[in-house]
Amino acid sequence: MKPGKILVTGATGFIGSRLCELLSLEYRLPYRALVRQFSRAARIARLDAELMAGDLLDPASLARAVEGCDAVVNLAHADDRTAAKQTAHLVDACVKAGVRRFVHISSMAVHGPSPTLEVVTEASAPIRRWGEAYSDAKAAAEAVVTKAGERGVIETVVLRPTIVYGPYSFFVTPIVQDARQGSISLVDGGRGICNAVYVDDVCDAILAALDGDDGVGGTFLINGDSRITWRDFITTFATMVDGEKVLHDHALDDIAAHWRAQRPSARDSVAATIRLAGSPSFHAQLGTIPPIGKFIRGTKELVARWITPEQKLRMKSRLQGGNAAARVVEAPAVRIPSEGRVVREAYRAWVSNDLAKSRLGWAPAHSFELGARRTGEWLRFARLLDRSLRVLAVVGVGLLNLLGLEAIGLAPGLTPGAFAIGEELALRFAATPSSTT
Amino acid sequence: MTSFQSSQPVRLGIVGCGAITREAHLPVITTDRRVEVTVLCDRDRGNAQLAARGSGIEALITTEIADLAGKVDAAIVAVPPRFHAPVAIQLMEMGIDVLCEKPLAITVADGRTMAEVARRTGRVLAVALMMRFFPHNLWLAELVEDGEIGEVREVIVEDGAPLDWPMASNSYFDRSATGGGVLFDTGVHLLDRVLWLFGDLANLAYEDDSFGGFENNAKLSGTLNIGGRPVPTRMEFSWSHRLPRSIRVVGERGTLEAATSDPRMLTLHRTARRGPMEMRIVCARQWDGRSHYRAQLDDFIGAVRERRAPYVTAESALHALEVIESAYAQRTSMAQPWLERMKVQA
Repeated sequence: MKPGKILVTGATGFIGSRLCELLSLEYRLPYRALVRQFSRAARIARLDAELMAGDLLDPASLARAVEGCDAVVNLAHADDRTAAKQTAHLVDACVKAGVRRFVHISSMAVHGPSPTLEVVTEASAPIRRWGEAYSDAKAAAEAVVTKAGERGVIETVVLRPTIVYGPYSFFVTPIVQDARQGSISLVDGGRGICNAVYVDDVCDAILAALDGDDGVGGTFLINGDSRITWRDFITTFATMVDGEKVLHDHALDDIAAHWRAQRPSARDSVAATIRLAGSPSFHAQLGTIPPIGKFIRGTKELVARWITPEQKLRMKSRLQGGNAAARVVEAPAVRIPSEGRVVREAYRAWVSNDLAKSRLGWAPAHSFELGARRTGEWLRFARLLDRSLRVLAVVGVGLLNLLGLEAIGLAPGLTPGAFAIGEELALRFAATPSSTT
Repeated sequence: MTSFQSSQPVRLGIVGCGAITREAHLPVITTDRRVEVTVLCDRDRGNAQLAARGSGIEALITTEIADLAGKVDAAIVAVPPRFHAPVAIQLMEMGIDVLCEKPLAITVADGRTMAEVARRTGRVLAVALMMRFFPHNLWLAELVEDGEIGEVREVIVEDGAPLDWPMASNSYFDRSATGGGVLFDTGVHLLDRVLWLFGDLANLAYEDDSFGGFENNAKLSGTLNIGGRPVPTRMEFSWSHRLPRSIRVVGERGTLEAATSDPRMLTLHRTARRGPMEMRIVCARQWDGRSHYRAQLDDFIGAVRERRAPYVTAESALHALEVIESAYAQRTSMAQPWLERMKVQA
């Protein structure tokens, strides 16, 4: 089908933003971007696109969003707990509005964290409850779509991308940030298979699912063609940063021992309580009770008059997570990989894209070399390869303007303490009710 | 002309009760006995109620600007930029002094009309470019003028971080509510300070990354006249990634840097015989995250009571707006090579 108008959900996300760019600049198809949080919409706001406020948990907003659309690309996945419900709301809205085609972006994760097969295909790899929140949520959401398709109320195509990378990818930026601090980190020698697919190729697959009719009713794994390991992936991006780096190889046994040692103790509970007492978001909630709010404000102002900004920042830093400077000294020299990262990078199966190639008429256009080069162009643009500009915390620019000195130390020459302060500011604003001026 | 007794608080209205009002203005207003907030006005009553609750203020809550008549002496205008001009003009015509959020207006013509109305009605019209109150600003200008870094070779202005402003609607990205992207919204602060400290920017060139929408990245270049010599100047602003947030004046004998993160300090970077050195110049003993808002409020109350011009006048705020308008008019596309995939493949 040739879509008349497409609704894109998850439009402010990594794949969604790139899809909007391609829809505007290359595919040249009319679309509407559904936006839940406008603070995340800056990238797609560069385009001359229709942005519409909406939430997959708000059926009325979905009814407005699908109006006049004959196709929907569902990239939204706000949280694991409500993913299936959100998808059901969207499917219902589409069916009621007579939307013809529904392209749902699922994930290779539905096949579980560590398939025992050498090659994963749509037919050979099982889907069941893995006891892993993301995998199970994606599978449940996908099932909602598939059932609607089987009922014949809407044409459905389900895509299961693998490791999607490219500009703005959250698989790439941590590697570069580590490299800027002089370190390359691998899990188990980086021997795991990295089923990497460039973001534009995923968008092309979405376009193919919209355009063609042969894929209707089908489910397709979307992977690149370059067979690479995680070592290839990580070292490719890490070596884009100039300067010497130390390679840290984390054996699976060492990581497991580390996580066992991290089990919470009574001391952690006390520390968490102290952190809660000092938390700006907790204060914000307490402050909604008028007399307590007045008391907190009065006390803060009183304290602020008698201490220097540095003392204030140190106090805040301690309340947020212990003495920040001391914490840095005590922290291990090398960050131990998270459990999610270990699962991802210990993957031993190659994911086949043969079915997508044959039925969708799609093929990835980017070798890993080309995709990495393009990603590198963006990294350079975003100054993420610049070792002289140390970035440890990400705090919104409007927020920094607003709070000025409270963001002390976030400039070049960042102090370790500033990281905790940056985190605190981000937390504080996450808890602030939104509004416009 | 209104006159005030010093014992009598200035009755203040706030029009627009979003994040900037709740997080920046109200915390300093509620601790100042010289002002009393009597009216909170917002087209969304819930915003005004939230502001009242959050700050413990008992004020009239309204959605109508006309309700401010007779109840306030002065007002803060913190509505989306497109409405600065009509709202501020309406208030001034009602005899109310105004502290208007930045940017002053979305067009130079609107800004000039606002300044004209302020003159005609005899009202105070201050602009909330609160970074003008940073202690290091005048130190920077004076040290440059005194030749501390010798002949000035270049001025570099940068400000960038991922946009994370809490917003409830699309007014940030709505042409009917605002006038531009990162240059208009974020860049205006540093641009305004540079123009205020060093004069006009000539030979303007501008590029950004928008495709018919709101730019996330903007690069502005031109020439300042410092010490009687043309000085190449480049400015870069980003909503997508982090950049140093500072004004750097590069001279033959060192660089003076005014970092937004520490308005009390200037840093002098110089290469000595033993290698690179940094000197911190303390421009103020105390300055916290609210100090510039306190200074701004102080100045506004003073202007209202003493019937004098505010520190940041509409006329001076117009300079940055003129540069922004001129930049947008001669916009060129910024290179984003990773987007041009067909060319790369070819």
